[in-house]
Amino acid sequence: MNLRNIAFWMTAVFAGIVMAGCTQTSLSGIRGAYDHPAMGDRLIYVSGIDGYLYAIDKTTGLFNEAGWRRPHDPPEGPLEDMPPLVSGPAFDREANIVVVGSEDGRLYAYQADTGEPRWSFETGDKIWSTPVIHRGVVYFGSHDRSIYAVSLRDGLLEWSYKTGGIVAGKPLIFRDMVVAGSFDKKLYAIDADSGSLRWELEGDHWFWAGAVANDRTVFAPSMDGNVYAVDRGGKLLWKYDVGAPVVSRPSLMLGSLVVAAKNGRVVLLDVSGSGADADRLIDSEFVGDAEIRAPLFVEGRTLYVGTLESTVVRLDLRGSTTSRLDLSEAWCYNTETGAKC
Amino acid sequence: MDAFFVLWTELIIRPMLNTLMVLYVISFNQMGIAIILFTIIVRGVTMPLTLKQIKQMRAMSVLQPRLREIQERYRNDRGRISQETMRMYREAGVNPIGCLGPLVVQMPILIGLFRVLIQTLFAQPDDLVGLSQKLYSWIPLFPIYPAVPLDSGFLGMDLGAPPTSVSIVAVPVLVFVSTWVQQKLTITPSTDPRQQSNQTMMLWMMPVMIAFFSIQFPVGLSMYWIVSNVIGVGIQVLVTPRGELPPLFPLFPKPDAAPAAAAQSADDDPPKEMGDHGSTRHERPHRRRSNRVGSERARRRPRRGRGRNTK
Repeated sequence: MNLRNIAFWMTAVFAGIVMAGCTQTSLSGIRGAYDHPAMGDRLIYVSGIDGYLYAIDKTTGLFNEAGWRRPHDPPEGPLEDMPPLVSGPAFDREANIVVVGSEDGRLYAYQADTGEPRWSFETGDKIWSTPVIHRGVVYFGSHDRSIYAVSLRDGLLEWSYKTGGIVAGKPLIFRDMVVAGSFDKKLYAIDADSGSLRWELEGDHWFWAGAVANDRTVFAPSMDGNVYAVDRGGKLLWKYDVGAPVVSRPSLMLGSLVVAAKNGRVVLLDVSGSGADADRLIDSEFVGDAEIRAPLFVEGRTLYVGTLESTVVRLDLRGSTTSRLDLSEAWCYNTETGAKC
Repeated sequence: MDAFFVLWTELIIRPMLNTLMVLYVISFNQMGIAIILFTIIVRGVTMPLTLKQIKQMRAMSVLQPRLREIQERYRNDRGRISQETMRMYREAGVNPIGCLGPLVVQMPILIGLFRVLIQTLFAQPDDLVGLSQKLYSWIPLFPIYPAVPLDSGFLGMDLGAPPTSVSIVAVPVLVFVSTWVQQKLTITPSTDPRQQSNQTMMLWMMPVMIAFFSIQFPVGLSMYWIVSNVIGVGIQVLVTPRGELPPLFPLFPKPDAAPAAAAQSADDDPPKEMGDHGSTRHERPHRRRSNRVGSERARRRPRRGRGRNTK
């Protein structure tokens, strides 16, 4: 088993218990994570439900030898009182910095290899949004309803844009724009340099799950059950109703869009061409009866889905052309029992 | 069970949750004020039941001397006691369980509000997912979607969490005092010493218990309870004729005090006219006369019963 495989397995297992309840102790200490880990060269960075940011050694799986854990000193009182880290970490190899948002409303930056604090940036409320680093700037949203751009080097504010609701999802860098959904039912595209509004699109419910994009189109799922496809100018190209709210961040898989609805249905959509909205469905698969809230993880033709029943399900994409593609379950692993489902 | 859950969600949780969120938006994102407004609405909707309860309790209070008379007369025949008691209630137009109406309505509201507070004043993403499914999409005027997350702070307290620091003393004390006063004003004085002692125990035990619970539950729930009690006391004071409100003191009434008061009250106020809150001093002679008729009837009835028994 090489390093890449170990890293992958860690990712899959952590994703599997995403949002599966805060009382689980299936992984000693960490107790699960809300978002994917960030992959470093030697370390894996994980935002734990227990409130700590862990830097885990890829080879040993330990944080207390080659890795680290922050903050050093938990607040007084039992460990359970630590608010969870909902925001996932973001790692920048060039700057050797890892950043993470916190429930206390601050974005923290640490030296990636040692865990030494570099800077922190204060917002007006909790941060659930996983930050994105692009060209030396960190972009993230806050419960104070704003989207922020902060310098990675020193943590100084570049710009902020006020929306009408909280911004809890991970922003997307699409061309020269920052695309982020808000709880005011709108999807915003902000100029990454100036912080000015390029366009906005209104849905029927919150935009919570982050968006993904290919070269030309942004795909943004909403809690209204629709996936919105928007071009770079903000024009709605099509929307597809997956039948249930979407909390899980979607992913692209061999050029197709894969979306997991809250009711456990995984949908594969054809995003090419200008076909009718209803004809976009390629295949769909129910992953048991469990809810899906965790972001999806795709590697090549393989999709890993974490469910609320503490399971990780692997779905393989078979077929060659779009019309013959289908998703089928390869295996299911229960992270609580440590056995196959 | 699923059907019950759906009914509970659709009939209690969702209407309450959306109402509370609309009130939150109206009250400039002040959850404390939203809860106060919500309580006023609930008390307003249940006002007919409250008035009926007050009426029934006053009627029960007036009937206490006759009840004692029945109990003494048929002390060896429990069946007959209940038969005669029911007849007395029927003739006086009193439903002995009618006073439970507001309580029955309050229970689902309290449980529902507890759930709603937990879901609206969320702390974790999982709570928020649950909340998202319960918002009405057809409320056009009030932007409840962007209002999330609700600010749970009010007067330095977190309404979504159990009390801490200063509020850990203030909240239970306010809950205790408001519950005690409300109970004291609504309790029906009994002529039976044993029942009276039970009442005294309940008068103290209930507020103590609820005050204890208030330490564990979110402050918002206690706030609802306190405001509801204050409104209840206000209604009681407004609709009860002057001089007929039970005194708040002494805190521990002597066993004889209540029966004496009840007897006095019965002498002045016949069961037939119990709902007559608007009577004036000029009507007193008429009321006394009708009371004598009532007393006469009361004296006769047991005699007839005894006659039938001896046959």
